[in-house]
Amino acid sequence: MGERPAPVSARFLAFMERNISYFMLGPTVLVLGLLSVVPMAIAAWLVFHEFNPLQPGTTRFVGLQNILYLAQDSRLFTSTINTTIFVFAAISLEFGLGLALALLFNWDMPGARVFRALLLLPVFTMPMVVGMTFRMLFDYRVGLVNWFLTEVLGTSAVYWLGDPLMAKAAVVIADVWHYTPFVMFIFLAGLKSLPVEPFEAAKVDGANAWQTFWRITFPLLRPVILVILLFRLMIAFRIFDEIYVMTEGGPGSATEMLSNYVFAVGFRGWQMGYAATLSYAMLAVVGFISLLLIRALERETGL
Amino acid sequence: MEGKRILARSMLSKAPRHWKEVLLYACALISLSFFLLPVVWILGTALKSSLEYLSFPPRLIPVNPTLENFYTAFKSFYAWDYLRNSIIVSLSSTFLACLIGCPAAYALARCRVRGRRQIAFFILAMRMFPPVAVAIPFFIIFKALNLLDNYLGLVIAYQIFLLPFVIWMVRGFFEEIPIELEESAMVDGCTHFGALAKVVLPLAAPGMVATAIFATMMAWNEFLFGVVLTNSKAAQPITVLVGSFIAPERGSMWGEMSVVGLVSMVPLFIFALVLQRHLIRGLTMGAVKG
Repeated sequence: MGERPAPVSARFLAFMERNISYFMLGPTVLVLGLLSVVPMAIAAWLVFHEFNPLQPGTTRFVGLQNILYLAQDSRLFTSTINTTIFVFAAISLEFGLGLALALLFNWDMPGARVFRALLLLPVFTMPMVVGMTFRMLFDYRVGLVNWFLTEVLGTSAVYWLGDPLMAKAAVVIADVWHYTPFVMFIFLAGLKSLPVEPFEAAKVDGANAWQTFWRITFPLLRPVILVILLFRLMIAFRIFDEIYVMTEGGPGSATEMLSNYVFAVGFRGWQMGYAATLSYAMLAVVGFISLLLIRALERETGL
Repeated sequence: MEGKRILARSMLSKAPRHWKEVLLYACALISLSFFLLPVVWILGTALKSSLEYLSFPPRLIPVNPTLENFYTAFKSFYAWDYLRNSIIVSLSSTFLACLIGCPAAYALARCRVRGRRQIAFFILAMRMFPPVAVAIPFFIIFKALNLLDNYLGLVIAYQIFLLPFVIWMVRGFFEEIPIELEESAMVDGCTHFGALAKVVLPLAAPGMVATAIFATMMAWNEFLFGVVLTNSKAAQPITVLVGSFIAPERGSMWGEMSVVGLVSMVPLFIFALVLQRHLIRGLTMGAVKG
């Protein structure tokens, strides 16, 4: 007696089960593949051409001209310096403050949860709104910051958004406001997940607060620090929104960051050939830094 | 004599503790005011007339609060259209990202597919793309395909940062679920699908919810793709409206600007407040374990 063939639905289900991984991954690979490969190919074509989407008739092949121009582009140089200074200053401050605040508020006190929830408000503020708000706060005449400086502290008003150096500082301050609570929160979570034994042993051995921090807390937090560092670096490096609204890259190009420069070339100057070249250069730098950090991360956490 | 010494010693051990607590509360107060001040400032400015917000000295709380900025923002600047666009685009793009991303995350966490490591690396690499680099070709492609200035274009474009994010986070949540649970369910007679539905999904649900919340926020806050891929209030998200205030004619309209800022923040805040438990879980789980 032979067996009846399984009904269509059961066979279909079996087919699905065997190949399910392909069905599950398929759409993602398709979507992401299309969204990355096609644009990157177009960008690659752009690198060797002059292309203005508003005047498509002027498209022409220019060979290595775009790439060669990279080396003599002073605005690229300044925006790279600006971005580097910004990233370095902002992240150092965020990490320092964030860690200090996390250590400070690691203790249980009444209202701690409400306090921490309130403190997270900056994190959920839209970058555009952050830029817009600090643009108002740093206004020379009627901004709250200058009011505080002149009326409360008694020093003189600062030309925040009009002075090249102070504008850089203003932008850093805005970013520190934006992300320090986030960093603090991650460190808090990290601190809470640390094992208790080393700290108890340290207490028994009579270590003071500074020694405990330097020899025990800090080394144990290394993996967390690296993860957050990688995360923040990738984001800070491509800052765009806040600058767009707060200073528009000014005064002059004192606060023009890489993303802003590429945007200006591509969507204001409409020179998409060179903008694509800049993008690839930026991609290379970001990729390189990220790779370094990922390697460091893998070493630290043994992933 | 003895009593005095005991009293003195007990006072000594109390004084430093009090001092530390006072310092702690002082720091807490200072940091709270620093981090909350700008938000309160926007709220205040939204309610001020132009006379007030451009006058010196600036006051945190308006003396004569007015709703005229709200009126202007919604009537003349069509704030509601932009808000509607943001809501539609954020929710749709997040939905699509989760629909496509969650199964992919599961496959990457469990299944032994050829090229799994390469795909995972590729997805991670995509998270490092500076959006401006992708925006240029996107503009050209979408212009050719007539996808500029509509919802579909934005929803598709947003996938480039939403999908990798969703997959990265949800995969982590799936990996935390021991595979033995699925296996024992299948031994008990479930199909793979059944095990998925009965065992895995309930356990991964909180993580997926947290991810969806974060994804919605990322989509909501997106500005670059919004300003590049649209040019009218037909599909522009509210981020672009915020950006429009740098134009010289709108540059000093702080009241209206603050209203728009407020209006763009409030939905997100409410969203976060209502679902904060899931958010905190997501924040800590995703980051700490690396």
